[in-house]
Amino acid sequence: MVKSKSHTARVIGVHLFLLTFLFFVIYPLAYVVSISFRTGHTLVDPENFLFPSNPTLEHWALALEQNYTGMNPLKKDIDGQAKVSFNNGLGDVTVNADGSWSFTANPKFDEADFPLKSYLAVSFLSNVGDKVTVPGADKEGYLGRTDIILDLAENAAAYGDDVLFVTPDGRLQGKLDIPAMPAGASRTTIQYGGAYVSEPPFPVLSWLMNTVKVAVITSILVLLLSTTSAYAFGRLGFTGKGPMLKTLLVLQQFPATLFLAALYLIFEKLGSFIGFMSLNTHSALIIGYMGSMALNIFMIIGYFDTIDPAMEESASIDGATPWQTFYRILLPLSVPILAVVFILTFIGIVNEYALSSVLISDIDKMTLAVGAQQYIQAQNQLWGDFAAAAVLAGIPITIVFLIAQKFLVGGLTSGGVKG
Amino acid sequence: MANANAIPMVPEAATQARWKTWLQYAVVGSLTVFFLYITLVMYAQGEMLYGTMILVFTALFAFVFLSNRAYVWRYVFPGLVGVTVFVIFPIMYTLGLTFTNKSNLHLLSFAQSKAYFLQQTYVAEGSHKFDLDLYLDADSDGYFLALEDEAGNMYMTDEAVDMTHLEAIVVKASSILMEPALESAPRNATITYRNELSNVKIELPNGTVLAKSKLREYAEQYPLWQADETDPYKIVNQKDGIVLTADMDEGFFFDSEGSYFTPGFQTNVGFDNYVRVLTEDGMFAPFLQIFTWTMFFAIFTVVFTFFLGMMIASFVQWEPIKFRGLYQVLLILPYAVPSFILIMIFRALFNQNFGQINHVLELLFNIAPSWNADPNMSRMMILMVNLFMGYPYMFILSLGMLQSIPKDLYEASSLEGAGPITNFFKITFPLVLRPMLPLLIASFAFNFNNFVLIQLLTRGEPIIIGSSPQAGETDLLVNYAFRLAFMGDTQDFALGATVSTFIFMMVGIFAIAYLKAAKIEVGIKK
Repeated sequence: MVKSKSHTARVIGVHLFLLTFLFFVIYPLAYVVSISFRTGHTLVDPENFLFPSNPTLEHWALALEQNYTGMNPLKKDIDGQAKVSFNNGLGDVTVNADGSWSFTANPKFDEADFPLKSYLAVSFLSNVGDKVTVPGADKEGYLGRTDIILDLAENAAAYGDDVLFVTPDGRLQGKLDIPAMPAGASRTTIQYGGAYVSEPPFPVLSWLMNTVKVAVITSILVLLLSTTSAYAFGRLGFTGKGPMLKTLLVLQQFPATLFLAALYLIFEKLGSFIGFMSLNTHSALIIGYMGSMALNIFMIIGYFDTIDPAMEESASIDGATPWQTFYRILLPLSVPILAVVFILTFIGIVNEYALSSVLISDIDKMTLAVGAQQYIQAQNQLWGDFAAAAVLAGIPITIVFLIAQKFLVGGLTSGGVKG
Repeated sequence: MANANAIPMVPEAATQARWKTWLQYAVVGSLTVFFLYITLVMYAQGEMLYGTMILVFTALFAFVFLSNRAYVWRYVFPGLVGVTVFVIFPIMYTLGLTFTNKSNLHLLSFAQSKAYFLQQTYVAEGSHKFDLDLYLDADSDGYFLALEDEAGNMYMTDEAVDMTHLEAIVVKASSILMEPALESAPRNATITYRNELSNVKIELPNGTVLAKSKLREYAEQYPLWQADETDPYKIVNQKDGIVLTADMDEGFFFDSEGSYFTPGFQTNVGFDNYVRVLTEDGMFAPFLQIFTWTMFFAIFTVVFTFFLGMMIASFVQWEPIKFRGLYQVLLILPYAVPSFILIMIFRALFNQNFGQINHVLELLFNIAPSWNADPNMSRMMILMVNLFMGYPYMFILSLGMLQSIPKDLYEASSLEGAGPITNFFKITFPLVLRPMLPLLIASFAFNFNNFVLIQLLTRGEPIIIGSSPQAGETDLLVNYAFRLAFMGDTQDFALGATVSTFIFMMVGIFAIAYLKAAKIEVGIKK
């Protein structure tokens, strides 16, 4: 076939379209990774569209339920004062007007959060607060920056000569050069790092565990219930089968979100008699999910229909019970659809928000979908921490989905629906 | 119904080993006993409805798993029970709720509400007061409660009271002559256990029951309310003589001046909730508006996700395009990433003041749409986000459908000189639409009730001005029902259920359309 010019143009056009479209698909995902590495919880980094200009692992440490020891850039004006004193989190610092300083360690934080870091430097600010660069200053505008690290004595060897090391009961002394104020500057400041320790705001790993636990148990139970039911509906004869299937088909259109209030009140009542059904338990959540999984019966019946019953018939002629033909013959042949049902249920539960938000109220017991919302309150929006938790939780789920997608395409189109 | 595929029945019991039979009886029997126990407890608590439900369930359970005649039902029984209890029953329950006034203010039944009033007590003026002291019990973690009245008479509980539970109990106390030779509890124990102590009443040898009146004081308590002997709807305050009358329409006890006393009780209000939704100014206009928006949202989403998904699918299917596999994987990413994460990312991107989108728009065009405050912009944001979230599903479906279109159709049309656009509208689209129809209806039904998208993206905000109870401009019907039942101050379950009932009707129509479109022949193999 001869390829015309317009054909080539069309191919390029399609590529361009797909690439532009992919940019919009991928940007939001790259964006959430980006804010998980940003300092603070800012949504826009004016200096950079995607890559954080001041990357930090703080949000990731918190998402992994670790304390994070960091430092804030702070400053004190020294013009016209004999000396300034401040606490930098490691201890008390006094800087004299001539630049000599002394430090007495008095750490604010526990050994578990060591090492604590700080620094001392001089910088000049203009009358609007911008740093005025002077010769000899580093790229952040700091002059004569001295780094200080506080840690236990036995870790001293780990640090090089370029930092001042101090033990929790040690002292340090030194001198900063304070040159004459350059043109354009109006303030002389002592810049220092204020050490802080942030604690994980929420138990992300527990949420992940809760989600996996609820989703796996529900998926297994749904698989058990729906395969046995599908077997009876697809292979065994009994009265009322047809109307019952039609009813199920209609019922599967009613999402649980529509009768949340009723489910809540029912669990509240049943839970006061039966412990494992009380509000705020995972078992109640699992039971609640299992009710609305009728859809899977049709998917499995649809698959059973594609399997020739001859084998089962010959097995039953040889004296196998219905349970044996089901368990030994039909099930091994149905592994692909069982995988699809398992994965679809699993993903459905991971994403489920409504029932979980109503039944579970303890922070520790929440699932990810509900827990992740806790970061974003009206007054306190911890977007950075949210992003790290979301990426941490989202990656395994996304990978499972992508691996399983080949199966899923078939499963989604069959599902008992025959055009 | 005769079924050609039915396997001849050989009940397992006929062939199974004796020990298996015994095991079956043991397991089914013990579970039955357990269920019967729960039934008994429920009846004892006056829960007739639930008690009967569990009794019926228990009987069916025992029959299905013990009788050989019900053999087939063993396969479907657990599934059917699940669907009955957690789908059918809640739907019925929701319908039932619409005829009540159940809300946070009316949670209890009339009897429970009355009982609550009758349990309240008060300390009458001039009643005897007793100082409380706690003593440690050497043998357990419990405490002895010792009382001393103004005259110096001392009493002590006969047994130590365990402070780890909170149930209300009455403990008998005996007179003692001198301070007990026990170790005194730390003074702050009365503070630590102040809630537990409030539940401990003490009965003196003469039969007087004392209850805690202050932190370290017990006093004689009298019931605050007494039931009127002639009128079951009246209770009389023993302290100041006020008479409360239960209003069985309003669901509250009222005094003579017309102010109500909580807790209220649940009453039957007939069709009041439906009348409220359909006639009250603060409800009907928002309800109509929300209904229109919900329909628009669902139709828009289905039409545009289908178009976008199919267009991209036909691009990716086109053989001259390289890296088709890679494109395919990247294009379904929005479907693979958990939706609760994606929605929140968009909430961040669309943030009116601090979001990336407005940042870029401001740099490029110097505009900053108010995605959060302006109802129309909020709706536009929702439609865009849902287009993004929804196209991969249609894309995946279209991929499968497109493969089934015979290639010679395109060859024939290209011989006739048709271009790609003609091909798309004359061949691809009509051939894909027919088998996709049931799935499109299902997608419509799903989006009609797309609760999570709205709840996480906008929470339904901004609020509709003049709506009472509050309704949101971007609420879907299902979010409106949720808002009424769970987000307001009053948690009006009944009103929420009423809105849900309207949705039930809509969903019923979708379900019938789906059945018609899919032409489902259940139970009969082709």
